[in-house]
Formats: sequence, structure tokens, C-alpha cells
Amino acid sequence: MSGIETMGSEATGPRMRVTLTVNGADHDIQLDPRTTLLDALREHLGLTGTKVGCNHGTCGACTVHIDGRRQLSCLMLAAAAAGSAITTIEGLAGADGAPHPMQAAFVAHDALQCGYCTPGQIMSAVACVAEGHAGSDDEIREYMSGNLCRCAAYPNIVAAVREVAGSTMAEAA
Amino acid sequence: MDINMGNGGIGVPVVRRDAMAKVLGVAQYAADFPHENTAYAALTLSKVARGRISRLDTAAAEAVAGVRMVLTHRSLNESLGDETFVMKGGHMQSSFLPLTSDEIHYAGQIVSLTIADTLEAAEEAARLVAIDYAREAASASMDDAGLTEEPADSGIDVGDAEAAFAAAEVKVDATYVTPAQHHNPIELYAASAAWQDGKLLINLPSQWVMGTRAGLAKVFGIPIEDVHVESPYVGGAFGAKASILPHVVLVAMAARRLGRPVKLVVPREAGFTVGSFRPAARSRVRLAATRQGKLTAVMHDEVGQSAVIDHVAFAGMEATSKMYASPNIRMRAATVATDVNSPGFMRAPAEAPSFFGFESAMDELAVALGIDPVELRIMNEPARDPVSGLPWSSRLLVECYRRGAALFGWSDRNPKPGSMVAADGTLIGYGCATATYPSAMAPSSARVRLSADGSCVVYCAAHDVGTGAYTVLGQVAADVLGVPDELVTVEMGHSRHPSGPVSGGSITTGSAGSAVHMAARAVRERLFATVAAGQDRSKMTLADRHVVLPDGSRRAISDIIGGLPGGVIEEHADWKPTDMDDKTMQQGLAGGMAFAGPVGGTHVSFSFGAQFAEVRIDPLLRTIRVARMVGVFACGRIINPRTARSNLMGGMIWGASSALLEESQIDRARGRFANTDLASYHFAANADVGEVVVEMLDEHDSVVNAIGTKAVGEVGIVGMPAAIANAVYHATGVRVRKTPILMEDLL
Repeated sequence: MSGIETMGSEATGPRMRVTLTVNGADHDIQLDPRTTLLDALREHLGLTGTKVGCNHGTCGACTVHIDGRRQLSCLMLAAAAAGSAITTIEGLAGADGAPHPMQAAFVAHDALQCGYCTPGQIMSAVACVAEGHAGSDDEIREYMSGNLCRCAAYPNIVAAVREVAGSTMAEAA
Repeated sequence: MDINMGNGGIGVPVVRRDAMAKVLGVAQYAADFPHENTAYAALTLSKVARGRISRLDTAAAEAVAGVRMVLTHRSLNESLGDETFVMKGGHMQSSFLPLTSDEIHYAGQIVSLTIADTLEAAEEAARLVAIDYAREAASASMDDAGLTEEPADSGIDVGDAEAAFAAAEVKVDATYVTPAQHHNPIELYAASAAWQDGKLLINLPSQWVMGTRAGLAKVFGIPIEDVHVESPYVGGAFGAKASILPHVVLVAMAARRLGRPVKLVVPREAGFTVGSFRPAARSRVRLAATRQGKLTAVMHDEVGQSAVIDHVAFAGMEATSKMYASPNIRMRAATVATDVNSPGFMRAPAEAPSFFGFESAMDELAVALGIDPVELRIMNEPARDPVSGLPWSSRLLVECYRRGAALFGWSDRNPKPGSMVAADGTLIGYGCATATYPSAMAPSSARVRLSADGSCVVYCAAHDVGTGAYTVLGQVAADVLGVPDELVTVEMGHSRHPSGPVSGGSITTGSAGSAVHMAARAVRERLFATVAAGQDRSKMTLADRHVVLPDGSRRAISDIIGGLPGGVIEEHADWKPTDMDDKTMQQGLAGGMAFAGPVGGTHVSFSFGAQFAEVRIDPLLRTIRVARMVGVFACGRIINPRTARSNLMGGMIWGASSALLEESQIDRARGRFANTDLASYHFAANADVGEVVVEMLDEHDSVVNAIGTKAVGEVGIVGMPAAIANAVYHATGVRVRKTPILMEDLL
């Protein structure tokens, strides 16, 4: 068998070096150029708060922020994220460790059950408010529909986003 | 929103104990556990549904840099041994383990497992495994020609239903069809296996760590103590993760051979065939009644899709036979074997498909009689179980209907189909249906520790699959010991803990909760015995971290426990349902399937609910929206109304999703599931969901178990599809006897 020589050796196929800026810190890593941002975060940086649910961009569990905009990390190569500011669920809390208001609102409204889609929901929810797409319950439902929740905590998710959007608007006024 | 962080007792809407870890992203699910030097696995699946592998070439796969192993049926040379299918007394999702022969039994069967240093190399190599098949004709649909029905059980007979039906004044005879469906939890199936000194540590999402431990010990021929199953968080389960899936065994075998941890995350599309699914079903329901609306015959014949490799039936007539008073009842179940992966439990496995047909038929009967559908159900309320003649441990179905009708505004309903139209022409329909779910229980152990600082820890190998078990089990202990919630810790989801039951059949709170209650009471007894030997313990109470003695004097718990060796009081309890013998209990505690109920020696225990739906249908496009759902439930004592409400709400949305969206479509020519991703297997997204109102009645059940709880996790889904179908009929006059109900069904 032609491949047997490499088996058991350290040869692991193509590698490249990438610097990723995640939650304000630079990480210099070597990875296979085909590595998605999702797998780089989870398997190379140990940031497992970002979840894998489909690898097709259909469920939203892997949602992160790239330069402040929501992005499905399963559909982006890690190399393509170099030079951008990447924020994951682990980077959302304040410098003092206090949960982000959206994280607190999800707890207060029981906007989660199994919790697996929750990091992606929260990353989308923060962006949804920042985008100005949380003006009504119907608008929240629409702009949060890229994040599937199989436990179906949807009404509580809407309530959490509504609360944060309301206080954000109150601050702006 | 009413939030209580202080009092940890029963009935308090305590905030979900695991919520903060989940929102911060620090809760560790199966694929999140790091293992040093992990190798990654990727699957290759069969492209044909039946036949044999005629050529297999792994050279190209093995040539990929970083590949360490390509496991196929040629190289595995292992088997399940005596371990088998979960519904034949074992723990496996199927009695067939892929890679144990060259036979193909279903499309999407695992035909190789490729292991490499990186995920990318494993995936590349898995695509290069070259396989030719000697393909044989296959049927993945129970509607294919030439398939035969086989009786699945002896049926249920009360009186002479055939004769009563033939003689009846008013009758309904209709057949209702539900498709195959897949659970699709957002967390993918996954497994990480690591061997050390002959011991296996496996991380996987599991609804049954004790069963998984017992099953893997049997497969690998090692002592049960040498298998450690870790599953503290489960990213949605719904029955999908209640048995050992084949990839788990293969990953553990690969890790043992490589001498290195191996991790596999099963891709979404592979999950449709690596795991189980809800099989398709066909219900023929015949109902007969007097002109006044009294049922005289209830007949339900259900045919369910089964698998050639595992005959299994999920007919729900144990529940439908008990719904209404009728002197004549006849129930029959049959299966049709197809070339598919083994079907399995999916949320209300028997009840959800059966009740779509049964409760649609009740609505058809109400129309035929000209009687309000709520009133028809109330006038046929049975005082006792019409099959066994036993009393109910509790049954507040009529109260659920009365309260639900008031909450929903049922009295505003004009019964004439198509009569309710909004100002913009939108057709409005109101429908209702009954929900029920058996309150079964399984034996469970638990350990409770009370420390001098007043803190309390609960240990149990049960699971929180999103249901609230972490929160609820802590509340049960806190209630007995008078401990504030912030001082309670609950440890679950690991096989090192005292035995817990499978988290299936909505049994966790009643079973594990009863064990926690028993252990906590033992702790309290020791506390009382320690503080004042010889005094009347029945007159002692706990309040504010003090023992209150019969004379009214108080002793601080910290002083009492602080003086004990180790500074803690810790008690273990083994609990079993009332009617279960000790042998069955021991089998259950050792990781076997051991259920008691819902029909006990003296009572029958079910949860009940009345469910209402308002649909809004576009008069031209016929698009269907569920604008409102109302569910009122009687599930015994509710330990935590906050988590119970979310669970019931999620179930109702599952029901709406099932009614309007969900179907695992079958490519009959190729004998395979056709829509194996979340872009084409649709389930409810946020924008699909309107208003959802959930209420739980204050129900006291002193029979079902020591804490008075009944089933919560699955009852929410059961009546919703029929309520929506009945609302669609009311809006349009079109009776749709299949799900999902699509716009083209209303043209």
C-alpha cells in the first residue's frame, strides 16, 4: 500500500501558519489550509463554546462575530479570518467577568433548554440588536431565524432579545 | 418574570441551575472534552440500500498523509458478542453492527471508519475509500408494493367492538398517515474514546450513561467498573441518544487498536442513518356513538414502519384505548419491515403518531354528531381506565379542557367550517385535541451529602437533556433539608455516580427525584438522630439551617454536622417503584431496562392535557400559520414551574412543527432518506412560532410516587398535531388526514 510509509510518521499533510485574533488575543497556529474557522477555534484553540451543528450553514450554532458582524464559522476558512477581530461566546463577558446583558437576559427568561444552540443564539442576538433588527417581536423572530433551537425555546429567546433591545434603546434615548 | 434565587424548595420557579454555564459557553458537551494526542475519525456510508460489498479498495485512503487506520469489515474482525438491540434487552440502537460483514442492510450504513491525525485528512481519506456494491432491490417505504403486514402484538379487546360499530347510529372510519421523522438535536452525535490501562473512558451525548456503561462492558468483555461514561451536558436528545449508536463501539474499537484517543463527530447527513428515527405509521380509526354522543365503539388499527434488521413496533394504543369511556374497544398493531436503519424512540414515540389519527377522528365524530368537540370529549370522560377497570392515580382532563377553553376563548368559535374570516380575508380556524402520556418509572439510586456549611450535594447518574433535571433534583433535596438554592449542587451525567435511570419515557423526575427524596430523608433522619437521641423525631423540623426540637429549642446544623467525623452527613438510597420486585430493581440499577407502569397493581397513571390551536390560512396561497397555541396540563406535582413550562412549551412547538413541517422524505427508487440535512428537513424556526400559552393545573397525586410527580417531557407534543389539523378543517372545510399538512393539501 502506497500510503503505509507515511502512516505512523509525523507527516500530516499540508500545513500553513495563521495568526487569528480571537477575543482580543493573537494566536499563532499551524493548521491544514482546509481548516474551517469553527474547527480552528474548537480543535486548535480549545474555544469549544462555539458549537458544531451542521457544517452547512443551516443551523447557526457556530455563529461568531467577525469585526462585529455575525458570521457562520463553519462556512469560513480559518485562513480567511486572519487579520479580522474574531469574537466568540467566551469573549462576550465584560473584563470583570460579568456576563454580557444578553447572556444575563437568556438566563432570566429561561431562553435555553439543552443549551447547545445557545452560544450561537446569543452571538446572533447581540448582533441582531446592534443591527437595529430588534424593533418588534416579529422582526426579532425573523432576524433570529438563522439560529435553530430544537428544544424550541423560541418565545423565551424573543423575550430575552426584546428586553436587551429595549434597554439599549432606552440608553440611546 | 417571577424569579426566585433564594428558596430552593419544591414548587418554586428556581432559575435553571446550569443556565449560566450554558450562556457563558463553558458547559462541556461530548465533543468539547480535550484528550491529549487525539486522532480524528471520519465515516464512509453505503450508497446503496441493500446488497453486498463486491469490491473494496482502501489504498487511496491510506495514502493520504496523516491517515492512521481505515477500518472496514475486512479489518474489524469483532462483533457485539452477546450485546444486542435495546428493545431486545440490550443497549444498542440496532442488533446489527456495521463493519461486521459485507452485507448492506440500509442506505447510509457505515462501511468504513477512517482515522487520521487531523480532521481534514480523515475527511479527505474517507471520501477516497473505493467501494463497489452488488446491489439488490430495496424498499425504504412501507408503501412499496409487495410488503406484508405482520401483527405486532395480541391487541386489546373489551366487549365486541366490531358488532357495536356495525350497529351504531353515527360512525367515523378514516385512515391517517404520519411520515418518518428524525430527531435532529442541534448537537450532532459524537464520541471520544480513550483507553488507559485497559479501562475505557468515553465522552458521548447520552440519555443513559448506566446502560451505555453496561453495554460497552459487555461488548469489550471488560468489568463494568472499567468503563467510564461521561455526559454532563447533552445538546438535545429527544430519544436519539438513549441507546448505544454503532459509531460509539467502532470509535472505541479504533482507539483501542491505535492506542490513542479517537474522536468522531457524526456529520448531520450521516446522523439520519447512523442513529434511529421515528418510523412512518398509518392509523385506521373507527369510532361509533349514539346520536347523543356517547361512544359505543372505539377501534384503532395502527401499522408502523419497521426494519428488516430489527422488528419493532411503536403503536400508541395503550394510550388511545384509555382516552374515553366506551363499552367496546378493539386495538390492533402491525408492522411492515423495510430496508432502513432500526427505528427508535423519538419524543412520544408511540403517542405522537397515534394521537394525530385518534384525535382527528374524535373531531370528525364531533362534526358528524354536530356536538362541540370539547363537549364530546368531556361527555365521554371515563371514571376508570376502560381497559383494566382500575382507577386513575389522578386525571384532571376535564378540568384541563374547561380551563383551556376559557384561556383560549373557545366560546368565540363559530362551529361552521370557513365561517371565521379576518378583515383581510384570512381564514381562521380553531381546533382542540387531547394529550396524554404514561407516567412510568424506573428504579434509581441517589446520594445526598449535607455539609457543616449548610451546603448540599446531590449525586445521581441521571441526565439533564435540557429538561431541567439539574435544577429539579436539587430542589427535591433542598425541600427536605431546608437548604437555600444557592447552596445546592447537583452532579449527574457520569457513570461514577449512583445509578440513574435512562432519561426516556418522561421518567427522570419521578424516578431519580424519588431516589433523591429518599436519600435526603435519610440524611434528615441522621441529622435528627444525631442532635437528640431518644427524642421524638416526628416532632422535629428543619428551618433556616437549624433543627427545631420538640420543645422549640434550636440547634444549628453547622454545630451538629461540624462535630461529626468528616464534617458531613451523606446517605445513599436505592429506590424502586411500588409494584416492582427486587430482582427487576437490581437489573435496572445495574444498567438494564426496567420500567414499571403506567398500569400498576392498583392504579393507572398518566399525565393529561387539553391543547388548542388557532390557525390562520391565506385564502389564495393557502399558507398555514399557527397564530396561537394553548395547552393546559395536569402532570401531578410540578417541582419547578419555570423549567416545566419551557419543557411543555417546547413540546407544543414540536407538535406544531410535526403538523406542518417535518417529514423524512424517502427516495423510493434508491431506497434512502432524501432530505438528510437541515436545509431540507424542516423543523420550526423562530419565525414559525406564534403565541404559546402553557398552564399547569395544581394536581395532587398521592399514589404515583412519594413526590407526586407525573410525566412532563413528552405530553406537550401529543395532542398538538391533531389540534392543528382540526383547526385547519375548521378554517377551510378540508380534512387533511396526513402530516405534514402542506399548502397543496388545501388547494
